[in-house]
Amino acid sequence: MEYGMIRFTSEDSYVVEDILIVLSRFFPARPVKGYSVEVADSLRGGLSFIDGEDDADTLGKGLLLSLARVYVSMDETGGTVLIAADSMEERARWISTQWKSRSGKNFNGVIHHTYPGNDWSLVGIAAPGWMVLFDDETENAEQDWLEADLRVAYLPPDDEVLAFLTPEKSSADVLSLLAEYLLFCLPAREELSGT
Amino acid sequence: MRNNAGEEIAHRIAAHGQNFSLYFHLPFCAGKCPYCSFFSVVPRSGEIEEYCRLLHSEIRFFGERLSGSGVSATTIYFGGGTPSLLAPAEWERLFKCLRTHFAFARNLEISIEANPDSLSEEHVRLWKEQDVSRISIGVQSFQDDELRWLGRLHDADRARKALAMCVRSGFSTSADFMFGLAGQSLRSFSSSVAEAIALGVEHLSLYQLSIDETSSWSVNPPEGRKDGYPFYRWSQWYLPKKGFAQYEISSFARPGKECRHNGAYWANGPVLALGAGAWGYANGVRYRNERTLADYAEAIRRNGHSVAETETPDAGKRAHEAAILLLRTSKGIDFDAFSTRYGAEELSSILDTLEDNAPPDCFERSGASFALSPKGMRVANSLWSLIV
Repeated sequence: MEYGMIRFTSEDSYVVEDILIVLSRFFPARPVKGYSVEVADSLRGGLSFIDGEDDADTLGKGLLLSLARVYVSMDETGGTVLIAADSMEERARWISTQWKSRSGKNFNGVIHHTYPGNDWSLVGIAAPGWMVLFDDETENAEQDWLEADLRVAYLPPDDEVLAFLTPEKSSADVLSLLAEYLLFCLPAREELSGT
Repeated sequence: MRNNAGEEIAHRIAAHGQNFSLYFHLPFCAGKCPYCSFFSVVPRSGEIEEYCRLLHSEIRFFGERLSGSGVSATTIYFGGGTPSLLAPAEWERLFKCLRTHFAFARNLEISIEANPDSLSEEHVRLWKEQDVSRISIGVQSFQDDELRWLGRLHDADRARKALAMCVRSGFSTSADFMFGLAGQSLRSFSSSVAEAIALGVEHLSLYQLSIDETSSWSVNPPEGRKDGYPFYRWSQWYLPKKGFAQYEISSFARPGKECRHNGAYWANGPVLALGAGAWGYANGVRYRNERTLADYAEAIRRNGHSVAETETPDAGKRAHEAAILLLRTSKGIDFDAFSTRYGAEELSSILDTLEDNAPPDCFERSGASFALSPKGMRVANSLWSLIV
């Protein structure tokens, strides 16, 4: 895994979500190599859409495989955003062109191969055109358009899932878990009654 | 002919035997925002001073009638318009008049709405001396292009300074923001809200831009307005993580920083409303004051009050209106309190209608209460339409 870090002051806490939004608009310039994902046989039917073709969307292009996770660690004077991705080079360039803090500081572009400490809270997961957020008030998976080119998936938080999603986990492991968890979060038929 | 409605309102508030809330409408703005239809005017020379003199008369009228009744004001809210357009000396006279004629509860909450373009250090200093608790600032956005599009008179820097000044002076500070603006992005909205939090606000009111019927934009609506739902949904995810709980459809606050005045309004508590265009509620009777400055002045001079119209809804209508107001809040409907006030049958009918016609995850029901869930708040207008 590769990591990028952005330090911010307590006045600039908006940086955390801002970086997540910027990363959700990052589309890799070349096709991304797929990851092998282990999914139980009984769940494969629910993933058949991945094999389909859909030009109007990111599905079928493998772009969703390009994940980055955004974490934050707070301290007395502000905090640090930690970006975890399989590859940071293109993302670092993207962030540098798309993002500047109000204090005028740019992302320094330094790519790390380790990250400091262990007090990192997951803010969200960015994939091209998508943001995945864990929302305490959501009982089932929900999706929504945030903007014309950005969608969000709200998932209910699960202690085991969140405990698993530490910064050192590979994107393949994360995607595997997310796919499985997403299926579990689909509303059951009786929960949809009345709609 | 003399209008005695003011006497009736005062009598009902006194007879209610509970503390009441006071609302003052201060209907002056330095400029009229194109989307707004709240009653407000750009003042001519001397108009604010004259209005305040009339307001003093109105205060005296109700103060004399409530004197000795044992009831006292527990919250006071100055709304507008732009209350911060009143000069500090005018505020000083207003508070003096208020303290002379009304009894105040010990835990009195005083809220004042202010706009960044007219709020001064002198206002803040005086309000602090007068024990004002909350200042609610109409920020709307921290993006200059969005503020210009909205026709606001301040820029982002002015808004930052106003918020910082209120926070630094120790007020519980609230900021209003709008979503659904042309050119607004999630990044710009989110960064505006985050900046307000970083500046130290403890209360946020978030509104979808709506173009009121009598506003100038209602004739010629601007292009590019956005669907506000995603911004609202994002706020419901974002703000709890920053320590702000949603306690009402549009309102988020840190614990203990909720606006009690609005709470009284949502609970259909007695609200004595003074000033032109103000709406009040007194023990089953809803009323409004005269809507223009000229009619207001004439009514005060003739009657001492400006109550122009009263309405006494029947029991069923009152129950339904009360349910809608209560369902704005995260506390929702308390079964015992609602049944006592409006009847158990009305309660059952309202709950059955809602539960039979809307998805179950729109509600949070316990043995003692019924409220909208965060999802329910997102579709509240549709839910209320079921029980109007």
